[in-house]
Amino acid sequence: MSTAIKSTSRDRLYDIVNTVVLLVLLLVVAYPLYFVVIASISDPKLVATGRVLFWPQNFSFKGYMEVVNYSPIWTGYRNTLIYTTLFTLISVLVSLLAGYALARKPFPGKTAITAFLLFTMFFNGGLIPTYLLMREIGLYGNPAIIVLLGAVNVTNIIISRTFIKSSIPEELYEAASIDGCSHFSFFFRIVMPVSQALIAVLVLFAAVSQWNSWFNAMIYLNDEAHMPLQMVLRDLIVSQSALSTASNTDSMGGDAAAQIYLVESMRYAVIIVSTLPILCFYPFVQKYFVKGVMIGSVKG
Amino acid sequence: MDTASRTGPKDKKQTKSLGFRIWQSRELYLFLLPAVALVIVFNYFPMYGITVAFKDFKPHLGIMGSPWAGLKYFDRFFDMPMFSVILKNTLLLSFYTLIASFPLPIILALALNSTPSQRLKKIVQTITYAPHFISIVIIVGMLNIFFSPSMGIVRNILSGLGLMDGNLDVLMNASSFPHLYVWSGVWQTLGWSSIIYLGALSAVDPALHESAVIDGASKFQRVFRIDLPLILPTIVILLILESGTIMNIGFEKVFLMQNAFNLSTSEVINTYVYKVGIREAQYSLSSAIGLFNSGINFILILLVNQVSRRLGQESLW
Amino acid sequence: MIGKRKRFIGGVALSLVLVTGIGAGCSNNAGEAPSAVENGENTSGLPDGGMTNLEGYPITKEPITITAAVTYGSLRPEMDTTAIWDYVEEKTNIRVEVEIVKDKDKADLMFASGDFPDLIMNVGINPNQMANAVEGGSFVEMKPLLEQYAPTWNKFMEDNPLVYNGSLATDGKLYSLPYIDFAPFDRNLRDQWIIMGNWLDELNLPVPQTTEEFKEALIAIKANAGKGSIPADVIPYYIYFDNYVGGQFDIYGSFGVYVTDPDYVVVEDGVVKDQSTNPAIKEPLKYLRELYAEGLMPPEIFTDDFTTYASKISSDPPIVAAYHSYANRQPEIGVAMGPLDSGNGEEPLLRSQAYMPGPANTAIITSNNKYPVATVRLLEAIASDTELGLTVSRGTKGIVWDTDEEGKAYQIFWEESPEQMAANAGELGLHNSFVALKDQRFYEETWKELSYDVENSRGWAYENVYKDVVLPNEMVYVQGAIGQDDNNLLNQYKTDLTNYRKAMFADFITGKQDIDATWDTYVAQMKQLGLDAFIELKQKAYNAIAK
Repeated sequence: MSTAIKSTSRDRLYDIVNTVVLLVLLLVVAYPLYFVVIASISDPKLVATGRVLFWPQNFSFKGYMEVVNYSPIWTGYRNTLIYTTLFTLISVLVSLLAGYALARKPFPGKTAITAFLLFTMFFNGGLIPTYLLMREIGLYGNPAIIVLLGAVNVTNIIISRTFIKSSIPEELYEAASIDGCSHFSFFFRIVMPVSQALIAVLVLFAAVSQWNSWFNAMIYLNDEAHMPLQMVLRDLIVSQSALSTASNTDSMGGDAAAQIYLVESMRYAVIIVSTLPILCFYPFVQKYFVKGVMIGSVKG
Repeated sequence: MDTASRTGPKDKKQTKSLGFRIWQSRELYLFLLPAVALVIVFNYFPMYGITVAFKDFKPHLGIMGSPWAGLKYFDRFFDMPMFSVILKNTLLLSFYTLIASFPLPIILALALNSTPSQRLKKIVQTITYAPHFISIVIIVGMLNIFFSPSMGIVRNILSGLGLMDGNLDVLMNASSFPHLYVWSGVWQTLGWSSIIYLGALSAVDPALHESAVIDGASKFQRVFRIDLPLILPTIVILLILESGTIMNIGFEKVFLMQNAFNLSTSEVINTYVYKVGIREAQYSLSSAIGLFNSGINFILILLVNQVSRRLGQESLW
Repeated sequence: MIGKRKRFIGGVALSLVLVTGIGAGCSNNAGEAPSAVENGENTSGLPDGGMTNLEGYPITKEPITITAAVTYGSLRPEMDTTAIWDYVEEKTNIRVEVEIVKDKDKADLMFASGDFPDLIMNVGINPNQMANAVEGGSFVEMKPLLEQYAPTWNKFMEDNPLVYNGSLATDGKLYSLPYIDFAPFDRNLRDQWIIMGNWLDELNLPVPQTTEEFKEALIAIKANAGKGSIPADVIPYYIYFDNYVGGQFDIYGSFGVYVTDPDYVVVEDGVVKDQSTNPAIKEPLKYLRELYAEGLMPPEIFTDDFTTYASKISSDPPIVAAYHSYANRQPEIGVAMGPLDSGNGEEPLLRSQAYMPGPANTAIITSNNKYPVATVRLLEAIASDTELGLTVSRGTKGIVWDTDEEGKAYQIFWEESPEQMAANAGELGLHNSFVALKDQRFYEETWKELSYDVENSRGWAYENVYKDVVLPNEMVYVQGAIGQDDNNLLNQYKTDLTNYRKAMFADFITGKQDIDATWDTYVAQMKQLGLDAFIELKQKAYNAIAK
């Protein structure tokens, strides 16, 4: 009895410390985010000169209007939605299947296949041969390339393997296989439902990486109508990228600053426009983390 | 008894037969087929491009047609006067990043998982996850605004509290560059990196906690004795994988953060390669440097994996 | 454990075998460049196989298509679909199909894979790429084509050896045409030096003529912060440190230490001279140190990025009292100030933008091009036919430019009006992304520059303030093509020297290191980093163009 009371008071202390730490963290992270929001509706010159701190200055939606009125943005959204959905589907399935297979007890070639996959994490042939190959097999300019290239993420396979291995003991499969359960039915009936948290994580990883990506589209697509959102947004603000200006102003000559004024009001608005949908996606994923707990308890 | 002794050796013989074991695992090969097929097409077909690092690559001769150059381009890289400086800066920055940004998401995940308030948990999760989506250009722009030496918000707060006067030195000091680089990175990735641990934690069986409570374990003890051990495999595997990315210091952020004062600590391999114009058209040298980086990554991951195995922990294979 | 390791090694070995095996199978590559069509004359003996007329319009007998590549620019986002290509097609029978290269990486890929269009416009080709492509026979030599089919360009090149030399590849041959704009107010001046005239008026101060007066004016402005129209957080003097655009270079020029290139060199009697270790530069550096110590320059000059720099100087109402910029950002109140007399007996001069009249390599005919003669005739038409040339360069007549009653062409709007540019994006020409020939003759006979009459425009400021105080062309450093190895070495020295010099000068100005005490160490270290060899290479590159 006395230990129980002691432990509750210790637990309370733990909870208080925990909550305080999380609240401080919340503040530290939230302010810059808040800053992005107020910066997106303030006069960009005031933002750059450090006069926007806690409230928007010279409040206006000019940046948003410019972004939203830029018509290719809507095709970009549509394309990105399609790419993200298909890519996520393929990538998660591939990772889960491979992860499951590698999580099982040794079979001939298992280590070799693991090495074969891991090798690609470190070594690649570079852009030139990949580009030539894509031209060769007719994937250049074909939107399918966006969905296929990078669909195998070795990190995700390893994560899946670790997760499945630690949450589904080999004995469970052996018991099932005695009941005549094949790998296929075991995978779909047991592994998939039990691994909801894992699937949620994989879906999030795949969706976010595809949502944010533009490089492959830039290299391998040539039709404006196929461009994803990030590529469209890059066109909008490419010249304001400090990267291009910092390195080029010397050689550019002329009025290097002029292009900056054209797009500076969009800098922050672009982030919000492109990020909001995927941010809203997260709470749905969170739900499955909780569900995972319930399944775990049922299993237990 | 009799049947057991008869089937025993027979089983053993069967497991030894390679053909049978392959046939037994046919479904598993099918599971691996999509990944392996895609990797062969998209990764192994173009892999011959690695040879560019050992050749005098001329675009019109193509990769296979260009003459071999041996280790010429590796030598050229190692002979650069700044080689030791940029290698040192790269390693310093990446190890610091690993040390600072690896454990914190784990702590955050454990803290979130054990917080009594579900609402707080959700809010913190969502907010800390958001910075992942802010582009590097904006992040660096914000750093410059917040830490601006004479008028930034950090300087204003510190001098308002009487903790300093004059200019804030953070952006004007070579020794503070690594801290700024690493901790802004932590800020940006903390929430995102904790997701995977939260996923792993959700598979922890609540029954374990219940019985621990009955045994009188405090919450703190339960976090350390139940939660942590259960996500340990995930932690170890991620640490191994992270150690294989040590040379991949992002070019863009370092480059954008560079200024006249911090070049002595902020010039890393990737920024130097960019400035010297190697990326532009010195394909062979550029490939050699890339291969050097990959090689170090590869060796590191093997080492860390070996250590982990020795300690009886997870392993990549 | 050992078995496992063996298997793993086996896996890696398998990977490697696949690498080489597949590699061998995949050896097809860009090597098979189509055989070059010599000067456009094929077996039929007629130019472009008889497709091309030798003079007049249309250029080709049947409609043809020429593919082209150009780098994306946000001021002209519609270079592929702009209406000017319809105009060109109607007049010449040539359809130019433009592919916009969105990123440097994609342009690099084009050169690395040899996957070229018919015509390469401005894609920022670098010397190595040029040398490689020339070596591989991917580009068509231009000079013979000009001699035969493009008299205007040919004559221009012969009259302007500097431009000609500057356009040559390392093998000494011509493969490209440049964008030529001889507008004096553009090329003869780098940055204007702007100071807020209304603040000077409020304080009863004249526009500074000397470095002393400039310092006093800045002190007065700082002392009166928050009074009149001067904001409380005024920045008296703001630069983008050590950047050739917006940097501190005209302070050096005011003290007679002329720097005409981001690498701190100047040309004296054909000899390239380093200025970064010239003891005379200590004087302007000390002057900057004084300004900094007085709080007249904020520490942000070292830490701001270019976007922030641009925002601060263009703030309206202004927050910066004096700055360097291509254009006057507050034409109503900003005053163009000349270089300042330091009193040390040297003539104060401002930087000239360089007397190279615009980007080189804005038109390259590749060996994939089946109609090189038609293409070169199109390039000639851009130079000789005013309407076609201005349409391709500026945009649709009547929208972007027009002619007055005397028949002289003038602009309706210009880059300075981004809103107009955006609203008419579908009618814009390619500006310096493609060739143009706006030489001396063009400005004398064809063009009417309206900006000369607009007070505080760059044209006006050049005519009224700067014309006689800019560095003479002979002193301006220009760079021609040098071999690949030299070029790579040059870049490496440049990076090492720049990093060190930049850090040291920043320390001198902020007072972290004392300039007199450290100077010898600094010079010794610069030598150590290869300064002499670097200057030699710079000289070599200069000789390549000024020969």
